[in-house]
Amino acid sequence: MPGADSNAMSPALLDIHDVTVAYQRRPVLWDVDLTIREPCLLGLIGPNGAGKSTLIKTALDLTPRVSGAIRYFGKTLAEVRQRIGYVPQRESVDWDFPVSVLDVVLMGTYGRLGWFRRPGAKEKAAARECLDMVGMRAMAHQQIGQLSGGQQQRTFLARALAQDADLYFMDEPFAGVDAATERAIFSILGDLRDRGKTVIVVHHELRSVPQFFDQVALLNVRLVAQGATATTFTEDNLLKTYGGRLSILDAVGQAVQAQEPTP
Amino acid sequence: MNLGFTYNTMLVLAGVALLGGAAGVIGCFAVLRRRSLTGDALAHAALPGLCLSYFIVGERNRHSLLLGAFLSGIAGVGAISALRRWTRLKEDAAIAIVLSVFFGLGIVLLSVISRIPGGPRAGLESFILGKTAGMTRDDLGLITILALGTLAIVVLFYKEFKLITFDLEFAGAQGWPARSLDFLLQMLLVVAVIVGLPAVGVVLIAALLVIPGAAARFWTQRLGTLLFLSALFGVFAGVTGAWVSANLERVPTGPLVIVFASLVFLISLVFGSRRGLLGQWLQQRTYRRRFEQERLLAMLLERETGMIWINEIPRPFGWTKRRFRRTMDQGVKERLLEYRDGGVILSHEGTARAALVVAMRRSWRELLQTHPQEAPALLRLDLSSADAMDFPLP
Repeated sequence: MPGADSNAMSPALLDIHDVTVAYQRRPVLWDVDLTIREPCLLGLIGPNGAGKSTLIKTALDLTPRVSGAIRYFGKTLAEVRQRIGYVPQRESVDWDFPVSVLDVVLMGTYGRLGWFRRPGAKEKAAARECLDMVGMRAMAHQQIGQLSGGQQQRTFLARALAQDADLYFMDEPFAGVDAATERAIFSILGDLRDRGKTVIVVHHELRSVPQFFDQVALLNVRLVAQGATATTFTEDNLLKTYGGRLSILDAVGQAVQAQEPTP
Repeated sequence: MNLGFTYNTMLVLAGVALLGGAAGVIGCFAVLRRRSLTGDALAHAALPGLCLSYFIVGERNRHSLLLGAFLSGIAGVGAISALRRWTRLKEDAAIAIVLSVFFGLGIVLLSVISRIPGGPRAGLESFILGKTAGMTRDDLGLITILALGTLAIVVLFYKEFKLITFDLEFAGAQGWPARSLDFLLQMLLVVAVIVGLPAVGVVLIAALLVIPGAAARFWTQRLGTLLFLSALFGVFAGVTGAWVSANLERVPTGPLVIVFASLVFLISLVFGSRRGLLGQWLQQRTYRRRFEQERLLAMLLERETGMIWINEIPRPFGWTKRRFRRTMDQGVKERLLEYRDGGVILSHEGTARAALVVAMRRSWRELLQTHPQEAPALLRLDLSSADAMDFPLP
């Protein structure tokens, strides 16, 4: 039973149970179990095609699953939609779309507004605050077509912040961003955790994993391992996730080394 | 030729105005959602249904014809989705196949109908290129209801449509019935196409959907304004096209409507305030001239003699004589340079500016070397921002 384990007093923040997803009879995710009990920054790590994005989309009911159950805070997704935030991959939208940065961030408030109601002064003030947090207040009225990749990512992040969720899914927020944006995102992630939120981040670059995340889940169609980064992000587990590919082994070595000197 | 506004002309103009407006608005969403070709396929797919419903109902009843067109149009769009889903065909191939197969079938049926003794061939054929002259009060009633209905739905669901058109997945994650909203938008597209068929015709209705929105894109970056402008362009194209067609014998309406739509598009393409060709060219020229001026200033500062002969074209520039002269003249006009003994030297003001340019470039190069990861931000700096930052002078 989901959430009925030992410390079942408070339900798990996220309980993904026995989830299998297939595209045209080819499994993409196989029997994945993932439970999060404490607020954390969790890095979702795995090779290309491991099903990282699919897991997120399945958790958000954007992709149909063959089997499995997903509960948030002990409830179904439909009951807690507004408490779940999502940052899709940056490339998933047309950045030439005729809206301003503020418009995009305001979309984060749409769910709370409900049908037909338009965002008002209150929502705009909240959206500006979120832009402030990602360091883009001055760009509120710019067209999104003029943004750099890093600024696009920050805009998406601000939109998610505007939703004021308790649990966030982020699909590769660090992909292809400049150094300043990387720092900005990292500090916001820490901020969210300090406020008791949970963030699940699909992440590609192994080297920065120990620095960014306190929890990791290693995924390759099946869940290989999940737990505290210090104990789970090991060469052994990474080998199980990535197999013995040379280039990856290199990265693994560097990642593990990078982990060691940290106090 | 009758230029007066008879009752019938007024009727037709009101009809096409509503049609153009609705098509412009819905077409905008189609363009933004990358569905420009769906409208085209839809229209072509409507033809066989039109003919079949003629066979079944037997006479030329407008409403039953449109119902047939509606159903076969939807069948066409369904066929495209099915081909994409169940085969390895990509969307463009699926659209091309459905469009041509349905249209071919429609033409075959049309020629069969033309051989039926007493079959009103001309009546059906006007659906291919469109004809507004035969519009009745009844038709206008239908157009009014559907066009105003479409506009009302877009106003009502503006926020929701904006969201799903920009980011369908995010909308879904937020709990919106994104697929259903998208389906509603697609149904509005179907309705706009079918209602427009008699007036603009199977072949060109897609152009009335796409061109106003594409033209409006050259003027604005705001969705609301875009929809409004697109509707305006649609109304203009529809009304002028229908009006000219009413006054010229034997010119079908569809092509004329598209001619006027294209005119709007061409004007927007050249003069549009956002990415219009003219504006882009001017911007590029301004940038190039400023760049050339800064280069000349820096060169003068670095030269020992402090001057450049008018007839000399410094080698690294690779400029034509005319371009070089113009840069010098402009510099003198802005009091950055002064003519002296058949050459130019820096003025007092020019020396200060040149120093800034040189300092800026040097720091820039250093910053790019020491902080290559900040290159995107550094590229945004220019002389004016350096002025504001009080850049340290050497």
